[in-house]
Amino acid sequence: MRTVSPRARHPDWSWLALGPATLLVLLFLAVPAAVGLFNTFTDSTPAGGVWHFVGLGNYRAVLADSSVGAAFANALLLMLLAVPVEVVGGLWLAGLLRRPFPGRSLVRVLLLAPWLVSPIAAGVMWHFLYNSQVGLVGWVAGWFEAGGGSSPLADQRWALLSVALVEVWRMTPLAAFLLLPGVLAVPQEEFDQATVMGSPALTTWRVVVIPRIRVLLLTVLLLLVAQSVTTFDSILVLTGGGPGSHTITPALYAYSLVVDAHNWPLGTAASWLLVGLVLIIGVAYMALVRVETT
Amino acid sequence: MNSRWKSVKRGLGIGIGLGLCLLPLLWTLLAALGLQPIGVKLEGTATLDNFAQVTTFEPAFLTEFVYTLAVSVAATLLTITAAFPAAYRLAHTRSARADGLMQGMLVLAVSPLIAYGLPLANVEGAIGLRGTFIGLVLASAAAQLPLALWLLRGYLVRIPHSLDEAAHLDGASWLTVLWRVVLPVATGGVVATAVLVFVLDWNLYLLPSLLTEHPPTVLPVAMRDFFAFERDLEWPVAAAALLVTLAPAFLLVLAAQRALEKLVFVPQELSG
Repeated sequence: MRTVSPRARHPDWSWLALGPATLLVLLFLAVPAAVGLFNTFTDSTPAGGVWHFVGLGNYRAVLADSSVGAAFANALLLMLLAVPVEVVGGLWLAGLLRRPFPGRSLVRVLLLAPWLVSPIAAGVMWHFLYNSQVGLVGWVAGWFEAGGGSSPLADQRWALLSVALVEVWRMTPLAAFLLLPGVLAVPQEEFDQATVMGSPALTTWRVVVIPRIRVLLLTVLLLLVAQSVTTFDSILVLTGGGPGSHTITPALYAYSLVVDAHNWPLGTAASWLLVGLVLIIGVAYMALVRVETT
Repeated sequence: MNSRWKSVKRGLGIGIGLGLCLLPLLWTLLAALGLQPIGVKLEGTATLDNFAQVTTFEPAFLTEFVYTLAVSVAATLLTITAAFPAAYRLAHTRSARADGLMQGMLVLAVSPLIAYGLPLANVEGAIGLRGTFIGLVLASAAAQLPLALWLLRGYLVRIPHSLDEAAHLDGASWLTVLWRVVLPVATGGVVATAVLVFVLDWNLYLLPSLLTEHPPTVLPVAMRDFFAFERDLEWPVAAAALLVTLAPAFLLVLAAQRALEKLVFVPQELSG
């Protein structure tokens, strides 16, 4: 039996363990973020000089720009197109890998390959894959003798869908990889029981698996939803937001204001609108997890 | 018979799933080798010329490769070194507040970098770090820290408290316990977290693009600049470059297979 707590003998210095992490995040994340947020209420520029408070002026100016509406609409559309496929696809792949078979651990890491390709490289890669001369899409079209035609990325009807497909390709296997440990933790007997009772596979998943991995599923969902609304690097290369503003996203809009147009206040204000959206998603996630765990 | 049909179906499913994931990469590999599928045939003769061509198109490619590797390794080590003790300390606090803090970390981890990238460049400029190797390493390390903290704490809460409590009672210092008792049993989780953090660092674009002022730059930035300003890029050479930039992450993940299998994305205390 423990009679003397170690804390009674020594003063508790263990909170110092939080020091390095706190310092790193404070200096290189929190402080710059606070500076950025503060700047959205001023007309300051990176060059320095005199600045004034402009209140919500930057936000008003951003919201008055029709591209912003398009950017947020695209982000939400991208989410609605990509996330359901990623979740269902991720669960499907995880289900396939549930039972052991020779080479399963290799398959498991091979699945990560699309996510390992950097978003920039994925953009370059799919730019060529969508090409009708050298690309995969042209090759498939060749089978149906439908060849020719331009890249779907340049077609305003298909551009956003093509971008969403790249997202689905990158994130679905990652979702499967993250969901698999949860699926594996469901005891085999529960599957057997459901099979004996003759329930179809989909029902088994709904009744046996999903209730057990709810929090994991919510967390993966948070990752996928946030990833889809903040999509940036891959679109920068694939379409640059075009044609027109058919594939512009809030992050891309903010980036082009900041980097290309050197309009720091507006660009930062636009990016903080996106942070607001991610925070709403985050708060919803935390509330849902609380409901599930209490 | 029913079960045989089931395993055939599963095998088919795995084939299709793996095929969908890997077909684009296989296509890239064929192109890099100078082969183009036309119908069911492959045209061209296999060659490694395209890999050699990469440095003709981008003379600084090797420098950029080494620089990216150095930044990513240093940033990963820094992230893990800072996150591990903090995660251990937070794993001991199992209150609603600590859980809330961790979920906040996760939300932070999925927030857009663009919101603080430019102010960060200014802050680094003010303290003389902008455009330096150290500045980029510190910025990358901080950007991945929230995720590392989330993953490591999720792993550490599973380790029985009695283990390190006993060491503490024997009079071992906190740091000794961390290094000698906790780290050895948590190696798998630390390795898995480090691998994921390395991949994210290796692929980072936005922060390096805002924090780099002169060469060398990191591969994603170089690749985007090249793609944006030299449109005459040929697909076979681009394909070769893509595969070379994928190689370190891919080899690392293959090597860390066992550890990655044990990765816990959500701690058990939350999933029950």
